[in-house]
Amino acid sequence: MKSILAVKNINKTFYSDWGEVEALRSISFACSKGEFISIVGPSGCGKTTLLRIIAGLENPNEGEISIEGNHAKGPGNDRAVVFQDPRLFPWLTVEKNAAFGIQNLSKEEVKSKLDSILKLVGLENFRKAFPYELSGGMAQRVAIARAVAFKPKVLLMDEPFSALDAQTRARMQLELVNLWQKTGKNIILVTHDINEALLLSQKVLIMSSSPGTIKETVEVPFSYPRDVDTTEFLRLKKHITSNVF
Amino acid sequence: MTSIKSQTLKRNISDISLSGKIIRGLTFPIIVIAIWEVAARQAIIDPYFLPSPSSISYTYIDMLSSGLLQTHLLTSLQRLIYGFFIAATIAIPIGILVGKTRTFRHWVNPTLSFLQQIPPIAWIPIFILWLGIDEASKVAVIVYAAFFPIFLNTVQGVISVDPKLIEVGRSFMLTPGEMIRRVYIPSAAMTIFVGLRLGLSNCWRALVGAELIAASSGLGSLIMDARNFSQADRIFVGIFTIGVAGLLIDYLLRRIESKLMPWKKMYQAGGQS
Repeated sequence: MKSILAVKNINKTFYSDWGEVEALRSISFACSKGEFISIVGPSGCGKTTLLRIIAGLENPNEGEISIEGNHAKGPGNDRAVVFQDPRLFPWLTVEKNAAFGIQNLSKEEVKSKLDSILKLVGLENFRKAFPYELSGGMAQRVAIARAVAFKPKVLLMDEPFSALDAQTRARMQLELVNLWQKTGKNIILVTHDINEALLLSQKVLIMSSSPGTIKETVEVPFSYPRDVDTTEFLRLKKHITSNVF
Repeated sequence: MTSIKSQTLKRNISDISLSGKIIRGLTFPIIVIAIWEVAARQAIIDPYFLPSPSSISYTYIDMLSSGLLQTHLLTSLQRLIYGFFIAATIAIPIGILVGKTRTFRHWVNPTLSFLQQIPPIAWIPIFILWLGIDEASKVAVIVYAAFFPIFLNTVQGVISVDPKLIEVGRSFMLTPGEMIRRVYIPSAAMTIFVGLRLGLSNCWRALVGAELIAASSGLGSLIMDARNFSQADRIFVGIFTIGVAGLLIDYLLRRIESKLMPWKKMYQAGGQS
């Protein structure tokens, strides 16, 4: 299968006044078209750094990221990021926030695009609301809409649901699977929640820390929507849990 | 809670407190004026030094109906507007530039801190020497007076733009120009507006100062003329007009601010409901 995203031999070391920290060591993996990959690992294992390098927000010391075979240096319009916090622009309404990354489209095209995307994330009735009027879950949906509207090939998500309450998180997880199936986008999700990784993704990369390396890659063979109570699910969860901690 | 409902709720609350505020704010001046009037009628104070409020208001009506007050006020306002707009168009772009580039800041900060210490009025003699006694020297003083509050607040606003939002801009591939227009300026807008308001009230003071020293028209010169003829009532009319005009200008600017930045009011009302 042809890979959309290839991460090749990434090394990253942070230098500071009090020494250097090797954050990532020889990270390599590939993501084939339409694939949903999760990256799990203990906190401080460098998973967010890895995502930021893929997003082009940080440069690796060694190695490279390529998208459809092309070397990707710096941010690109083939990738979009959903951060841990929504990071909406407080002076823009929901629709203007969602349209933030849209370029070179006529007014009508933007409108129809927004219509479908806001509907997809369930915010079609909140177009004119400002971020301060939104709950945490709604704000994160706008952030997802903003990333999807950018039409990236790969959607990069950095613990997007970790700040939400349990119920909202569960609903957003279902919605994300739904969105992924409808749009066919590649998703790379960084999470510390093993359950979330197993519930959502087709492949789980397990990272270990200091330095961050990929310890194991686990295929998740279950079909969607997934049942968290089956023995297979629980067995896989147990396996990953014992590997992460 | 729906947004519409919460908005009307907030509006009602602020309405009540607004009228309450006006009543409370007016209580003190009304009491002072009443005592003053009584004192003047009982001939406790000499009207040569302190005319009664009623005689001041007659003079006020007189000066209004002759059009004298309006002429002076308009002259002052015109100078204010020229100077203020010139200052804003210089101070905001330079402020953005200085705020965005740290090295630039190191180069200019000491000089600016030095200039900031000098009250605008101290420059009037040299401005008159350079630019003559006409409009230009007065406008120059106003530009100087408005420049620093606007400039410093713009710099501050740009420095304190949330780096997380800048990162969003980067990840969406904004060009440097777009970054300034779509991230820096709106982020800094509130702080820039604080600077504009401070700048405007600074201008107003500097302007009156300049007119007191050297002008043949404007509210400051009106006061100076009245002093030369020992017309205390006219001096008071001038002073009140200056104060009221200043208040109105600030109010107008605040209205513009809340029109331009509807999200700001909610921040202050404790938006996160």
